[in-house]
Amino acid sequence: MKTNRRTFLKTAGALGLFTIVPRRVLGGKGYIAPSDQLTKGIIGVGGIGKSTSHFTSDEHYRLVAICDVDKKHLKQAQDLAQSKFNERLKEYSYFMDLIKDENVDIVHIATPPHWHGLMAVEAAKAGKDIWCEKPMTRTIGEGKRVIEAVQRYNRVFRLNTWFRFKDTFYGLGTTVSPLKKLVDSGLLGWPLKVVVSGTTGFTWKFYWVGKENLKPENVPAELDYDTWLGPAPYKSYNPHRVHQTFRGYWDYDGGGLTDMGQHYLDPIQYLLGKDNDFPVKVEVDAPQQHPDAVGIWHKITYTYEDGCQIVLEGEGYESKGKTAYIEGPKGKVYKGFECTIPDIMNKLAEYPDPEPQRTDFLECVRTRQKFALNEVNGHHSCTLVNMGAVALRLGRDQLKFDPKTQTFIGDDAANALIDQPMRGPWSI
Amino acid sequence: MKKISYIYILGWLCLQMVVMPLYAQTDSRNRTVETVVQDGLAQLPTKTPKAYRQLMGELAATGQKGMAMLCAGLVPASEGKNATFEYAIDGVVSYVSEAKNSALRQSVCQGLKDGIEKCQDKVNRAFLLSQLQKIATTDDAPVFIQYLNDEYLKTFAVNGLAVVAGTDGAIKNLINSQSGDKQSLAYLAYVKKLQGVEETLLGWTQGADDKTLAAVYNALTVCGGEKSLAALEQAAAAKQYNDEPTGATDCLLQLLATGKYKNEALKVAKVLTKDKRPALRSAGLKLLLENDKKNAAKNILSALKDPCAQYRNTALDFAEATTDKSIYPLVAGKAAKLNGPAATDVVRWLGNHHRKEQIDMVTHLMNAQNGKDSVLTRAAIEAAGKIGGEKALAALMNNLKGGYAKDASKALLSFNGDISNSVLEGLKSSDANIQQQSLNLASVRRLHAAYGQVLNLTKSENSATKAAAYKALNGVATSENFNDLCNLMEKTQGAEAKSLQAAAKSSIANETGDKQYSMVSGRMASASKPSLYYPLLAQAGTHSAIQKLQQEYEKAGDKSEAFNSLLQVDNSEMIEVLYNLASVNAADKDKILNRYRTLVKKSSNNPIQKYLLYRRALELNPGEKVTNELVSALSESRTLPALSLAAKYMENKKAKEKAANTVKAILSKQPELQSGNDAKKMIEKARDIFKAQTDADAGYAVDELNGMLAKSDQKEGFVEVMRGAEGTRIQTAKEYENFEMFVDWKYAGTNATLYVRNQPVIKIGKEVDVVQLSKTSSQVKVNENGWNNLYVKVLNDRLEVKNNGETVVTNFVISNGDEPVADRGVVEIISESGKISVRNVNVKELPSTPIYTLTEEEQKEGFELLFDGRSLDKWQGNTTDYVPLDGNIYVSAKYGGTGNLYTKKKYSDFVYRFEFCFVEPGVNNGIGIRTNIGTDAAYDGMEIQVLDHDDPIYKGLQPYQQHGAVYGIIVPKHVKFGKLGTWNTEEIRIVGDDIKVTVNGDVILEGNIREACQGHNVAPNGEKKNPYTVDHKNHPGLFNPEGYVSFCGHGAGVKFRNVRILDLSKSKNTAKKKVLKKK
Repeated sequence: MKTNRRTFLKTAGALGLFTIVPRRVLGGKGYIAPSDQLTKGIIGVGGIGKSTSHFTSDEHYRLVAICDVDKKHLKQAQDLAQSKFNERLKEYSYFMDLIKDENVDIVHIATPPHWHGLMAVEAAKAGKDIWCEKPMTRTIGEGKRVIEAVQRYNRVFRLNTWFRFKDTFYGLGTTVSPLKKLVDSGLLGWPLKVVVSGTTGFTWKFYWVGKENLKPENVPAELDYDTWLGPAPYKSYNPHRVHQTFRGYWDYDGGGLTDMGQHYLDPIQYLLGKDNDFPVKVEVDAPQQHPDAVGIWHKITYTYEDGCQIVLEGEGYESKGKTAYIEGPKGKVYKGFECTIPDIMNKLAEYPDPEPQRTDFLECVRTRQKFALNEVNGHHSCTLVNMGAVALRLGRDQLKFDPKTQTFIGDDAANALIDQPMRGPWSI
Repeated sequence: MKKISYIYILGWLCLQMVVMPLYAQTDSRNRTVETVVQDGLAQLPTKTPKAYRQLMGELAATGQKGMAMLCAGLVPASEGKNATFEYAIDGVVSYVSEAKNSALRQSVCQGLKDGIEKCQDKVNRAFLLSQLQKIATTDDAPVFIQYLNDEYLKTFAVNGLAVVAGTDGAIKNLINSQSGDKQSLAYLAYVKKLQGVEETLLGWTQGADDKTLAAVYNALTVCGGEKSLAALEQAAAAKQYNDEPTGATDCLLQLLATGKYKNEALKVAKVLTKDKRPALRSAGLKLLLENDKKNAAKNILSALKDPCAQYRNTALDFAEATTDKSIYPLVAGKAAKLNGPAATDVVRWLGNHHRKEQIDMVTHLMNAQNGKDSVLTRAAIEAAGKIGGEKALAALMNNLKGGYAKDASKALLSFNGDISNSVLEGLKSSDANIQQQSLNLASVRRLHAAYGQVLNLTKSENSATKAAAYKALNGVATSENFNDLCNLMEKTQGAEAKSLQAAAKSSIANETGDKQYSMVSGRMASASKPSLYYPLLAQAGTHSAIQKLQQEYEKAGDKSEAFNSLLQVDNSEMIEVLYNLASVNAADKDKILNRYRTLVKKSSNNPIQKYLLYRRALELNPGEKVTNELVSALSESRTLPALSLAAKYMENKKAKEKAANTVKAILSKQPELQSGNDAKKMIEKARDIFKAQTDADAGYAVDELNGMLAKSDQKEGFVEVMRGAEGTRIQTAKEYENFEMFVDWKYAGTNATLYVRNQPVIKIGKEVDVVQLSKTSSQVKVNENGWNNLYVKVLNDRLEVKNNGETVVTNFVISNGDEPVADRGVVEIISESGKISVRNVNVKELPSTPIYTLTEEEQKEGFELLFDGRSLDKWQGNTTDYVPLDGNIYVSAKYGGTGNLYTKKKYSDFVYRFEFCFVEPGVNNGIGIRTNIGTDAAYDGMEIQVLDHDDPIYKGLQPYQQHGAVYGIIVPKHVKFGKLGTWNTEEIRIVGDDIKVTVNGDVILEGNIREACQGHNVAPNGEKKNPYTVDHKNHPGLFNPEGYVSFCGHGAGVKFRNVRILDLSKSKNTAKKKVLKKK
């Protein structure tokens, strides 16, 4: 949002006019020069925000503040902080207060997706660097706003999925790096088709669906439901909408497609060298979707202008027989790096490794370099999942997309879902 | 209910429909709007895009009236279920929002507006407003505007105005008349980028609160001009350009970003670049560069001298965009004079942009200050690797010798170009460091041509070079070098021998297993230290290689090398070997079983075999980690035995979470295992385990398990009837008719026989086979040394048996010669002499097969049984969707057949008796009489409606469409049905024109079809509208003298049973014949 249209009851009194990048001095033993230590605050500590990899501190990187709209989450997080770090963290109920905390260098956004874009923009305006959970934004338009704001203030932005640069890629039985090497070698030919399916090692979590006919219930005392909803349309409270199960509702997310999709699709975008490109078409085969509760789908196919395709196969709708993960005119590669090209490892050894990526986020923050997965390529891979979500929600079996304007061709209703209005007083 | 009507739509009628489709009261299938809506609702949500298009097309064609009906179906969420109507409304609206369906848009929109007006529930009205915004146009703006002051609906109204195209004028009027709150109006001005409202908006800033200011400032970024700029600048300056609640600074920056106000931008840039806050300085610098292109290059160069990294990088990030490619040489030219951090930024920038022509500067910086600035040097090395080219390659090779060898080596591995010649040269270098790094590179790149050189370097006097050369052999050797390497290995000791071993191993890795084995065993025969070859045997991995390794393991004093190699073998034969090893080797049990698990998972064993394999590993009591992994692995076996084993591990504190996960995984993939009490307890237990966890998957797991509990029916599930037993004669306590059974059993050493229903059916010895010889059975081998799993299914008169998941027999008729087989009996295993062991006997009782017979009275009267519970042999037509199941004719859509089910014989006057049961709400079927194959019984003959008519989707049902109606002709008395699943009886008696329908003993219809339409089944003048029939339609086949009896419609979810008929015309004929004979 440009500036939210909300009165801050607590305007941070002394906004440090003359502070450069404030650091928090670590007390006790092992004194570290403050300038060497970066600090972060997490917004949303119900699920992923409390995970081991995020809820952590070390000599270079220190968790100092947390924020949540559920008092129970705050209490649990404080208990965790007590047991892990033996201290109480600065605690906020309202995210703007955390963003404006001058002791916070990096804002970590671990809320449901309908808040990501707005908070990222606010954090950028406040001069913070940003670590954002996937999916980057809930709409294509919000992604564009994030890029603008991050670049307006030259912030460092990290989108939190990592398979393009580390870890075994789910059930594929290999990391992405050798696949990138294989694709770049040209041994498979061009264009390529990539299949994300149960048979290639990926699950779309079809149990991440919503419920129809939800009955209104009383909002629990510990939850600020209005702020939890934030920019999303007002709908009566039901516990299934929030916390662990929000993924099943279009207003906040879009089931496995949008919540796992960027994990699965971002590395493919990297493999295909499409970090600055969008598909020209998305095709969807799915049962009808409910306007509120996300359902399942059979198949989603993305096609780029050069003919490269990404095919998503829903659980239970996998194509028959052995399915290649990547298929090109000259060869295929299956799960576990099984390749139809004989003696592939020896052949590949002759080719250069993929270009190194910048994967040390703190180093990027210090040297002001773009992180390997940043607001730009992150927006591109997030647009893949959002294109699918738009087609699904409108029951379109096909939508054409203009990569230049980032709009759908000849479909006003689809374009209306690119920039979705927010519930006042929020806007982005 | 009549559904399909093809042949009686006359040509001219079709023409009329095409000409005026929107005004016709019926669709192309002659259905009324009500019927189309009801039919549509009954089929929602659609399962495929094709069905979606078809159905939404039909619903959309009902236009205003249909949409208003759908809207009227919504009830307050606390009072009922709306999902079906929401699917319909959202589906239709989405459908007409598509350009190609825009012809239907206006009338649907009108219906939606009617619906909004009539809707009394604010939540539903909000839903409808959000639907309207998808298809509304300029003219619909007032609908949204009227809710702008409604506290609940306001945000929906604002969003509607924001989304709908062409509302600009309406919004402008609202702004000019200030009707509505300023924040919302300012937001709308922003979304619509309204022009001509700047003055008004600026006026609103006077004395406004922060909230309003924020909204107005936001709007000014797109609606404002110079005046707004001045206002924003003033506001931002007054707040010291802080990020404060009105957001003036950011709005100012956005307005300036339009590029229209160069001078103002430069003024602001000047202020901001002097600010102390890095983010603001960056924003200022960006403004400066974008608005003063003439001096951009100069400004970039000067920014590079700034001490702030962010400032410098902002300059670089926007350098090319604000100048052109000439900026690269300009910046590079100055780089040498910059301090270390700035030069580092520049060199990274050149690398990121792959500036080949600037490689000289990159290599210069790489070696600047003799490499004392390590950050700069590393950045330059990285950049050189990205840029590529000969100069970069030379510079990187040169850096292999210094303190940056690792960095240079890494850059070379991803080097943008071919490095092999340089590496080969590097091997010849006089510098030992370069040689060592080149050795590594040669190995990684598998430069086979370097083998000779690498081998030579193993003799180097430099110990590090020597070590590197030994290591590198691994990558450069081929099978041609195998004997050479073996010779060397046998003569060498220590780490070098290990390197040679690895090289020998990889040199033959691409040969077949057999070839490898013959090469390796050949060497071993004469080798003084055969253990050197163990890893090579492991790689060969053939049966012989495994045997050889086992022999070596047995005879070796120090078993560790053979042991480690055994764990490397990738062959499913190892499963048995490892199990035996784990049974006797307590110390390494976990390590062995971990490998065992991997191999079982990879193997082609069937799910039951996997269950047995994992189970016996668990019974060796491995440590916590391996136990958990094995319990998880059980989920690969989606079977009852695996499920019941996993369920037992939910009691194990250290494995309960994995066990719960396995239980859930199996149950969700095998819903039929969710039935019964045992399953219910399992589900509850698993749910409670998940409840204690907080991650998203656990949340959905609780959901999913609760869902299973909610769905769990009263059906029998598997029950463990015996935990374990041993003896020569083992029997169940209970007698069974139809059942499924899983039992784990152990071979007794002698033959045994399995009895069901008192019949000996299966021989259980070293093989499992049927007792009576059968062409269709196959002997299945048993595991004589461990547990087996037997599956037996008895249904109706059929038997299915599997041992360890392998089919012995299926669809086998149990017989007892000429004698009848008993209805039921205990399940019994009798052994010839040896004791047989069984455990975990799980039995699921299947429903008895119902057999319908005629009552004595019916027999006397001459009734004929048309369906006795087993077969459809008296029927024709759609036998795909009408399926005999559990003694019923079950109508199921899952088989995808088409058409109706018809009797094989034709009937004229008759009494037709049957029972029916609705299993899904809103079910729609019908009994066609005196009809023909492939026509619509409602108009060709008669259709006696079968309909779950009290379901909410049939709100507007016409009386002549109710259950029991002679469709469109005679209205019946309303039948009140019991809840879903209740069986009802029905009798249809038709003699000449007299018809009588009796449901559950009540006569609900009695009449004369000819009188009902005063003889005019077709309108006298051939008109489409027939004033004489109740439905005002023509029924040309109403007076058919005879025809088939049919089931009409194939909507899923209805069952029929006990169907019988008394052919009255036949008895009349017989009577006539008798009379004639007498004469």
